[in-house]
Parts: sequence; C-alpha cells; structure tokens
Amino acid sequence: MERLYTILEGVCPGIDFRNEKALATDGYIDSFDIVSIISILENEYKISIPVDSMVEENFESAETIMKLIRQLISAAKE
Amino acid sequence: MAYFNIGKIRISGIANAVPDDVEYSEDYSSLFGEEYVKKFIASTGIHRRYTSHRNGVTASDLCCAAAEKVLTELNYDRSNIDALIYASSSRDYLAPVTACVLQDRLDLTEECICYDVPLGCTAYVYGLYLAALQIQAGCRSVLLLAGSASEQLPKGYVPTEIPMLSGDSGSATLIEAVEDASEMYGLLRSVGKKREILIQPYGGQRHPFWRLVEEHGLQRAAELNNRWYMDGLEVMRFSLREVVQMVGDFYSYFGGSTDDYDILACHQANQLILKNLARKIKFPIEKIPMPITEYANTGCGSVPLAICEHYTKVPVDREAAEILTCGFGIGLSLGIVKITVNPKKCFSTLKVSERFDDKVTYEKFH
Repeated sequence: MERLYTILEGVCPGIDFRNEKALATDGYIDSFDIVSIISILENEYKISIPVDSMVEENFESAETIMKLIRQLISAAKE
Repeated sequence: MAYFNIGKIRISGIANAVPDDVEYSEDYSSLFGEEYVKKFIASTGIHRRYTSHRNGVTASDLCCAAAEKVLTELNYDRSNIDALIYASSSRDYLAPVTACVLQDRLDLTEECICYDVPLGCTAYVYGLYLAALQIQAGCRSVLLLAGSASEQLPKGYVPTEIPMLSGDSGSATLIEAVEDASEMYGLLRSVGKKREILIQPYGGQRHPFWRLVEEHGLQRAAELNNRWYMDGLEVMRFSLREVVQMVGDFYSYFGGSTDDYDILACHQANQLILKNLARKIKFPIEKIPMPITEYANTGCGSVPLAICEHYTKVPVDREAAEILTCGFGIGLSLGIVKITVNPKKCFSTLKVSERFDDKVTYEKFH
C-alpha cells in the first residue's frame, strides 16, 4: 500500500490519499488526474486498465484504486 | 458506409492564421492560484494561446487570411474554385451561412458551390471527405476552410474558470482534381447517443432563450444561454475507447502500419489525451505534432495547424508525405483520413489583427 501512496502523491501532490474516501466526488481529483494515475499505474504494475474501469467509483480512495489493481493482476494470472 | 477511398485528390497547399493577441497560462496565476495553473499546464500541455476575445477577430477572418495566403503563394486562378466548404461551428451570423460571406470576400465566382459544415473537432476530416466527394462529382478544385474562434468579450470581463484550454485559429486547404494524384481514404463515425457529454444545450430551437427567461429570469437565462457542458471523464473515455477502436479498424480495413505514415496530425484535445492515445494505438509520440503547447486546443482548425506547424518547423526535402489526420469530439463525431501533402506547400502561420467590417449597423436591421 505504501508503494501506491507514493505513486499517488507523486501524481497529485498535496492530497491526503491516506484518509480521503471521496477523492472524485469531493473534487480532490478530476478527469485529468484519473487519466494521469491510470497511465502511471499501468506502467508501475504492468497492468492494462480497461477504459470501462475509468469510472469515478474506482478512484474514490487509495483503497478502491488498490482493489482495482488487485482485480486486474489476478485476472491477468487466470 | 463509414469507409471511403477516393482517388485523384491533390492537397495543393495548406495555410493557417491566428489572432495577433497572445495570452499565457501563467497570466491567470493571480486569479486561480499558482498551483492550480501549474497543474493545468502539466495536464493540458498548454503554455500559451492566441485569442480573439479582445480584438474580435472571427474564425472567418482567420480562414479568409489563410485562404489569401494559399491562393497568393500558389498564384492560383480563383475562377477554378468550384466549391468552398466552411467547416466550422464559429459562424458570422445565425443566417446566412458563412461560406457565402467568404465567397464574396475571396472574390470567387458565382458558379462556386458554398456551404457550411458546422461540426466541431471533426470538421476538418469531414471537410476533407466532402471536398473529395466534390472533386469526384466534377469540381476542379475545392477550398476547405476550417477554424474556430472565441467570442469577443466585454472589457474587464473576469472568467470564472481558466479559459486557456481553447485557442483560436483558421485554416485554408486547397484541394484539386489531378489525374496522377494519390488516393484519399479513411473512416468516419458518429455516436449521437452520447451527445450530452459535450454539449451547448441552450439557445437553439430545443431550448430557446425566451423559455429560459420565462423559467429562470433574464439574468440567469443570459448566464445559461450558449453555455458549454463537458463531462470530462466521459470525454476521456470516448477518446481512449472509440477513437482507439477506430484507429484499429482503419488499419484492419486499409492495411499498413504506423511506419507508412510520416505523421499523425491529430485533433489537439489536450496533451494528456494525445499521449495516452499514442500509447494505446502504439503510434510513436515523436510522429504526433503537438502545437497545443503554443496554440491551445483550436477546435475545428487544430488538425491543419498541426500539419503546417510540423512541416514548417521540421522541413522535409520531399514533395509528397503520406500522413494521417484524425479528429474527434462533439457530436460525438470521429474520423481518420489519410491524405498526401506537399511539405513545401504547408505554409507558416499568419497573425491577423483586423476584424472585418461588414458595415452592418443596428439602425439598418431593427
């Protein structure tokens, strides 16, 4: 999880990713941030995030982002 | 019939014009905060733009100047121009069409077919297709004018959000019927069911101004009228799903690969979309010109601007370059078209400061 926090804080400095639970809904991150985050996650975790997963619910908190990453990693292994 | 392939089409010359008034993203730091503006520049790539909101130059003024440049540089006989297509949603009047105004200003003959194509960011690629159809139908040459300009704003106007995403430009492309010229081919699509993700809903016949006044009062109606709405995340999804799919379909249908094309002149939505699009379609990023950094997103005029900015900065010692043009945006509408350009006939960008005086007075039409 620390690795993810570091990545997210690198993309969007100044946002409290450890505590915020409504990043998109409350306007802490916007569509530009989400695409930037996706781009870096794909590179760092060697995953491909489908465009259909590019929805606000998946980017509301570090936990939901991690859940998405784990789903994609496990789907890739199957 | 989304795919097309039309032969004997020559792109004889392309020119662009921008308003002679520049603004920098950092100019807005005091209004929106330094950090916000830095983030804006990092994600969009936009450092500056040329804008008409102060000098009132219109998209048709820009296109007209670009057309004069092309016709003069080529020493072209205007009586050969059998059609003028004004591909833009920035119109001079609600009616008549701007193409007829430009026919008069450019001194084209009365035998010239003139019409507007009021699309957004696909206006240029659709315009190329329509121009090719006109050639196929017997026209000797077609002048395709594509551009966008913002409205002149009152002095002292203070924007409520950073206005730097949109810049202004106008272009002119002369397309001729030439027996040994190459083919123009491509693919055009529309996704009307998603029209609400990028829309200017008020002020037309569906939601007229008077009804807004009745429901919300004059002040609120004036605020709502002509307002733009964009669902940013949906637009990102569209750009990285439908556009990626279209490019894949283009290669499947016509064959070839990225190596076959000199550049991909893409609509300049924002730098983040362009970089991610390049990554998804595996097109070398260095072959995608990004004038967005200096001109912002110039809407209908962004593709021809990308072509000319590339070839004037990276001169090529050839008279033919096979390139891809790609537009996507409001509609939703999207298209990819292969054309052949002469890099030496892609001219440098002009700056225009004069607004055309049509002599219209309020006393004349009251």
